[in-house]
Amino acid sequence: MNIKEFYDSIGEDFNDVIGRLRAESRVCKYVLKFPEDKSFDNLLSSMKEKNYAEAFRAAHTIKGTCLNLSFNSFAAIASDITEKLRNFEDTAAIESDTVLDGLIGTLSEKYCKIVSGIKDIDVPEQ
Amino acid sequence: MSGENFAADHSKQKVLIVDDSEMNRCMLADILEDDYEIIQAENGVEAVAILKERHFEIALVMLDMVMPEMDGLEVLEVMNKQRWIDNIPVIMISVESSAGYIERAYDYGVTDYIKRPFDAFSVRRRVINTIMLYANQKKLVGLVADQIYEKEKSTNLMINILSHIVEFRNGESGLHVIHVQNITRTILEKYAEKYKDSGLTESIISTISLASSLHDIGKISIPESILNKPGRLTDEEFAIMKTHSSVGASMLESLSFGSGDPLIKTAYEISRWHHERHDGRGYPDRLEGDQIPLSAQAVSVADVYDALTSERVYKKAFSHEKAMEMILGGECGTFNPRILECLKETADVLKENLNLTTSEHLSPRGVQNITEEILKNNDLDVAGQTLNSLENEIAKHRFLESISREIQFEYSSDPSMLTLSECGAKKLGLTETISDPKNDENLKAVISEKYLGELAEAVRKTTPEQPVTEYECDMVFGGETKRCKVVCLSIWSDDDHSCRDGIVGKVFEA
Repeated sequence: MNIKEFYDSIGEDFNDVIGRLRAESRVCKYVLKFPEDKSFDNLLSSMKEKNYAEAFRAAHTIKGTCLNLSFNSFAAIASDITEKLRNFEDTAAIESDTVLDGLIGTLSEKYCKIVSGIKDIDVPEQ
Repeated sequence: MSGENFAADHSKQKVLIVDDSEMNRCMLADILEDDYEIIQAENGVEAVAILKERHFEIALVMLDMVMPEMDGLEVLEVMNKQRWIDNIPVIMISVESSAGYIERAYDYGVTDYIKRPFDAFSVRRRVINTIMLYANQKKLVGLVADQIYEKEKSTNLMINILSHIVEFRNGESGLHVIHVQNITRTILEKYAEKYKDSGLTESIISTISLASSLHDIGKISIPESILNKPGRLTDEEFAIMKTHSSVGASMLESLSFGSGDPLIKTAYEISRWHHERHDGRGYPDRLEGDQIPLSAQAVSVADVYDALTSERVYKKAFSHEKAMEMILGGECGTFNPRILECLKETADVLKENLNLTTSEHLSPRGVQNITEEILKNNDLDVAGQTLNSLENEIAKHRFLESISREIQFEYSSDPSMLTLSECGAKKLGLTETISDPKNDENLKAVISEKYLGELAEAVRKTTPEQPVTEYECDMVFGGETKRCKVVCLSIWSDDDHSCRDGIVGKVFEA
């Protein structure tokens, strides 16, 4: 599928991103790079290691990256996670936060969908 | 990408992008790399390392706030301490919209703030604009700095020539003056840094170190036999030698010109009192403690240090360490403890400079500081006065126009606009401002297109030598047709007589 179809398939707004980045080739380039970004893995592993400070930064980075790609609903989830982790010193609250767990679950689901969708993108001739 | 290419006239300026996300750095680099050379850093520590080496080359920093190792705010702290922030604009890039963060960043001197998601067009434009703004500012500061530097250079040259002439008689190498200048400056710069209440500005430090060149000018009155005696001086000879400080001072005092000049006043202080001592046991006036002006206090230490570390007719040169030992040990008299602190803290600089043969009379940092002081304090008088007069004239004109009951008008051709006085507009039943008057229906109801055309023709025939147009025609207003006379003056821009800047005139009812 082409890049616009990809955006449609994940429920994100292609017009938004093309309006900002101006060139389809550019959008393609960055979307294809998205799976290489370590922030998502970083978030999961820091949560596992209970390194909430690092998890906060990872979530924050994910949010920024996604906004740049107009993965807006994905970014919204990341944003919620970021806010939950902002007081990363309060480990007790974080560990008992079931909403946070739910959010991370949803994020993972969406992430997988996005990454597999990306594999199906036909790279246009440069 | 828009067609403009800023790389054309300068080898590309460098922009440093600091962000822990590779994707973000990539995106920004992509947007900017046609116009700038991009340097990337993935956290604050890297950024600071790069800045340390290349801060004079970097035209702008794009700085993310949230990063591992060292975050954006910490980078800004360093940039402030090192004063890189003075010359390098910083654009903050962040998703971090919590108000406290942004405020703190601005407090640290950030110039602008770009939110994610990036809009390619805006980002590029803002970067270009910010860099241009800083470039203009730097240029202006540079212009002032150049002037100051030139002035300082020539003053310094004259004074150094003079003092070398004096020293020539002493049989000294001529380096004494330069050394004392440099040491005095070093001590005072440290003093200003340590004691904020000292009132020492860069300007004052410059004056003092320059004036220090004249500290031994009185020696010109001392007989050579005493000046260059290789052995110990007798009590009588020493008494004569001691007069050089007061003689030098009275020479400066008796100058018929420039006696009020800060440089001369400072030179007087230094010459007269550079042999006074903190405990009151110096000469000629036995001043004590802070009765001795700071300038003289600094020069007395500098003088002693240099005398100890140089070869003289009556002694060999001592090492830096020996000189420090003797001074701090009180073997050369007592000095202001604050100044001795400064001496201790600048010891390595002093030791290094023992081999200097040129005068550090004004470092680039020094020139910059003086420039900033001037720009902050000076009203740039002439420009200010002119502006004032202009504003006054405009106010007068407006007032007279408002109280006159005549129909006054002004016309400019670019943009095409007719402006009427308040009264005039009311009388004619028109608005005060009419843009594109040639095509304005309301105006054409007052003065027909035909007449307007003829008036324009008449105005076109005016020249700088004959700038006034007089034209009669019928105009319709107040429900009647009236015979009117239009008198107007064509205004020419000074440099281009082919171009009429505008027309100003009145309409009279004949």
